[in-house]
Amino acid sequence: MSETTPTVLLVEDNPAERRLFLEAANETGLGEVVVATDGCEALDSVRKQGDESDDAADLPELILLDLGLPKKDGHAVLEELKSSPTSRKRVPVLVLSNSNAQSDIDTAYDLGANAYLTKPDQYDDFRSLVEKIEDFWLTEIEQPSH
Amino acid sequence: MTRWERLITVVGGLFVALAGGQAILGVAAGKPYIALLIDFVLVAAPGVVILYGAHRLRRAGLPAELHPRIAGWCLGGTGVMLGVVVLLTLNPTGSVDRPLRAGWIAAAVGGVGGLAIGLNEARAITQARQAERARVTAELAEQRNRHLKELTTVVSHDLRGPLRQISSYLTLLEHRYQDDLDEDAREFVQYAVEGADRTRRILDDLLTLAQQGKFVDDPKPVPLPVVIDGAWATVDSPEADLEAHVDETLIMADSDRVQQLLENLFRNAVEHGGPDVRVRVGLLPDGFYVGDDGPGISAEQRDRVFKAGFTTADDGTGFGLAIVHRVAEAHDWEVTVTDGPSHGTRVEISGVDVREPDGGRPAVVRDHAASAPD
Repeated sequence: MSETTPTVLLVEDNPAERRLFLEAANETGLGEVVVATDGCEALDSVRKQGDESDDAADLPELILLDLGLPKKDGHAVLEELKSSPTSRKRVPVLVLSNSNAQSDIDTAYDLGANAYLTKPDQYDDFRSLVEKIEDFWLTEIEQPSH
Repeated sequence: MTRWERLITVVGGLFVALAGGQAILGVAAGKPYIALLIDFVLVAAPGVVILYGAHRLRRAGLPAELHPRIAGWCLGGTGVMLGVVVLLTLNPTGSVDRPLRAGWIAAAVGGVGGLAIGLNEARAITQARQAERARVTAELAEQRNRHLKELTTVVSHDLRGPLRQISSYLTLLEHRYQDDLDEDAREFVQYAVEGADRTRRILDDLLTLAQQGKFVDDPKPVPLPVVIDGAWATVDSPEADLEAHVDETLIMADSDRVQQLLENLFRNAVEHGGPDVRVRVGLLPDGFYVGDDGPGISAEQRDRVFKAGFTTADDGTGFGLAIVHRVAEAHDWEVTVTDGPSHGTRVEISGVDVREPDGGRPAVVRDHAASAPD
């Protein structure tokens, strides 16, 4: 695990959803949140950090991925990340989606998602979810090497 | 009467007239009565049967476009048998005694046989067409259900995001600026959040309703106490009380959907009977009931309660009992609303395949459950 503040990559195209997450992250002290607004930007962001600069420590500790994204949808991003020959594939990816359709859930897990979370309807529940993500995925688990 | 019916009638009438004519000529020629009677019966009887067949043609519900086929078979039968007699007559090694007489008898019998074949064939074609129509209708209904479900799913999911944003940002507004909001502003925010929540509940129910349309064609034995417990666990009313008198009864059903049905009945009881409502589940000879000690449903409203969107509760979605009805329909069950023995509402689900815990035997009526007060 990086000894600096953990970095979370939030991949979300909807500005209102992004802001909501950032508010919740701010209230819970989630750490540094880097934002990508479409699938290509997300992959570029991880590619830059993981490969080209060869500074693997810059990879995010966690990726929170929406599914309905412009340019490249969440499933495609997930597939590319998890089939990568580099250490990028080890970064935990949590899908955070509005959809609770079983087909979306199954596809995400088939493609290597580490967890699938449906966005809660109430803000307080959403905030509580962000808190749980921080407690478990950024604190409790052993981080892979990059 | 179609012209083909008329043609068959003419054929039948011809044989009857021919039989009569032969008999008159025979009497005039002094032939023995018994021989004349036998000849008359052999030709006239098939003629009468053909006449009756023509008369029954329309009443049998056979479509008019099949009448030519039936007439064709009747004439064909006549012709074939007539041909057989002609060939036998022409055969130099054999002989047919009185070929004309044999020809008429054979033609009459052949006509009846042909008519019978034609009618059977027409019935088979009609049944096959009806089966095909039923299959296509069922397929279309299934397709409509699928499209409706897809549409509802998409709409529901697409609206869920904006609704989340409305209620979440209002909540944030309330949290962050509580001190800056006066009492009116806080009330406005509260109403807006409640409105968004209610819309979301309606969407959830709408989605559930759309998902219940598919017919349950593979029911499995479901332990009734287990689904009752599962459904009751979703009721958010700690003061409400449940009494289930169903022993270890199994019902043949789709477990998830029957739990959905019970959840909706329980929620409906709490919604209308209040948070401390007493709910009772018991068995019927061919099903089960859910009763409560709430205010009951008036006789005028009973016909409407299962319609989607009907509600008398301020915060109800109006889909709860429509979902119950849809789940019951999918199982081919009947749902009726009655008064409880003393007061309150009792919803009865009948036509259910109820089994004893050993699996095979049909259920017996449990007097204590069927007659117990709600």
